[in-house]
Amino acid sequence: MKFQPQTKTIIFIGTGGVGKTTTAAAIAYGKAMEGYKVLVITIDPSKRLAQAMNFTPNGKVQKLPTLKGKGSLYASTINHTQVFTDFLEKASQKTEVEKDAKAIYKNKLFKQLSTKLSQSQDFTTLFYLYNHVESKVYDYVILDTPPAQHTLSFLNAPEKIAVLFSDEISSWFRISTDEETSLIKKVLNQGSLKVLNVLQLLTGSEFLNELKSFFDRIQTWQKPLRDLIYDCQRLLVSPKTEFVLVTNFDQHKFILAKELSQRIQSDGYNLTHLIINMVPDWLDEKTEYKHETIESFRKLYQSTFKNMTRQLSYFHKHLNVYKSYNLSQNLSHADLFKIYNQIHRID
Amino acid sequence: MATQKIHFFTGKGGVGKSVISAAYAWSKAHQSKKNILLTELSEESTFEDNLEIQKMPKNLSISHWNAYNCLEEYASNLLRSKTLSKLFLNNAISKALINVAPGLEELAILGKATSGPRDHGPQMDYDEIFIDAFATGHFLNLMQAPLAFAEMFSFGPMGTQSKSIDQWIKNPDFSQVHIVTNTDELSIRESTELYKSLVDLGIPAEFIINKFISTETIQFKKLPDQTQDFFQNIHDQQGDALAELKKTKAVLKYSPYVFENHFFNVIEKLSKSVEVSS
Repeated sequence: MKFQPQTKTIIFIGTGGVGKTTTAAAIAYGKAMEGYKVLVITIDPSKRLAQAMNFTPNGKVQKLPTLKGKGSLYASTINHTQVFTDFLEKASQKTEVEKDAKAIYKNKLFKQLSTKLSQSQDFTTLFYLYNHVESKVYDYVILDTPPAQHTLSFLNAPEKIAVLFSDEISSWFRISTDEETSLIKKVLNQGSLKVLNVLQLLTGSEFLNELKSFFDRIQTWQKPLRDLIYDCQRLLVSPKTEFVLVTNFDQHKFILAKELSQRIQSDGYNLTHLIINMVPDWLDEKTEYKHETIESFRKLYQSTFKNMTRQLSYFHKHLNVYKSYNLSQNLSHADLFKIYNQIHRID
Repeated sequence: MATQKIHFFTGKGGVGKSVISAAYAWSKAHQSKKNILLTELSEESTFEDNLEIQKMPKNLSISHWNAYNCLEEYASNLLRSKTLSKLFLNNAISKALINVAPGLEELAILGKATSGPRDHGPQMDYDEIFIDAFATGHFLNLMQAPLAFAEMFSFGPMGTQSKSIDQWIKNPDFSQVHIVTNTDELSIRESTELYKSLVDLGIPAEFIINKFISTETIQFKKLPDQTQDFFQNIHDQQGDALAELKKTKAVLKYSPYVFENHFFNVIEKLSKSVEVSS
């Protein structure tokens, strides 16, 4: 599998259960064997995969044993809580009043927000990726993203979090003392006051006070946080970043993959490759033995082949299409390289 | 008629939550005269786009819920004014608020789902609601949100509502959680972890194994190499999965692999084989 010469970051996307993690790992192995220095960031490897890679999913970067070759392979899972703390620290170092920045940790809404942000994993994943790409230590940084519906939420993560730190919005709430209140009341128009009143009616004053304090405290952070978020965003649309879409040999998943690829490409991301996993080459094997289950699969897959033709011609126009096959149950170190070697282009 | 029961369907991304929730709702509508709602928690509706509603029972309705439309409904019910609630929600402040107070999204959705028995907020005309809910981690956030909010804000309407929502989603006569799973190692791990976390929260759940393939009678040795690998892999994987799931002592339901290519046909076939408890 070939990537563009300027490519530094490879992001795998696709729906759940299509073998994305294993495929990403196999390609990382392959690239390391070809002589590159590769880091693969995986979200949640199965025990079998972790064992096959000889790696402990503990949120730290580890050097992995590879087969013979000049390159080297590193792997890491993500400790989302840690990464989120790192993100805040990195941003607060850039603020002039570091103490002020720390005050926000006590805000109830902020606590909830940071729990949610680190649990949703979108932004922390991106920030972790960004840090490793920025470090320029590796020839390739390969990322295996959370599943599909989340692919979009992953890509929108910077935008979503940036909204929080936009000046326009936080200034609405930045009413901390009584003297200021009267001043701000003059500035705010009637409509916005009405909104605040309704908000108080719906949520209660305790909630509103936390909200005010949240925006008040976030003031000093705003710019450094926003800059960092934009840097992450830029990484996603950079010409040095390539996206690889993985799908299964399944008609419904194939349709979802087409929708996803159209969306991703029209949004300006550099999606270049499609890998169709679990293409059943065993259909060509001849056997006298008949079993209902096997015959049902045979019939289903034959019709899947037929129905996929139209979508395939779409994919061929827009992407490099590859086929692959890997079984989940018995995976060994050497298998990952075998998987890499059997991924081949179809035209 | 207030809602008597709500069903949540969750599971790892890609295991077939949508298919299973739709089949269950269809089957229930078919077997009873009740008004059934099938809804999904999403920005865009896969059901409205992919289901052939004219082929489904008349007492089955389809919708999709997101935080924004749930909040809007709730606000307009409470403020008794559509204009005021639009003004409230269609502005930058409220949008920021929804972002900043992440539990709010979850609270709005669960508030709507439990509005029947709580007799608070907009009422719906459905006896049972089948919710194609979020995937595992996000689903856990959803179920934790009311308690987290109630603990954070003990006073005011937010605190009171959160407490009552929390009680209803933990009432097994009213609310049921179905964890849809496949048999691959990652699905099983996520499913059993979710199950444990839910039990810790005080929420019981059952498992539905989707795409279960009958392999017991296959004579693997008679198969050529690649074919044998393929089916042996399925067989071993399912065996490991069942062993893991049985350790939880939770109710296990099986949903067979449907040999159909079209999303809608799969749901139609499954709806006929689903066992629905009353």
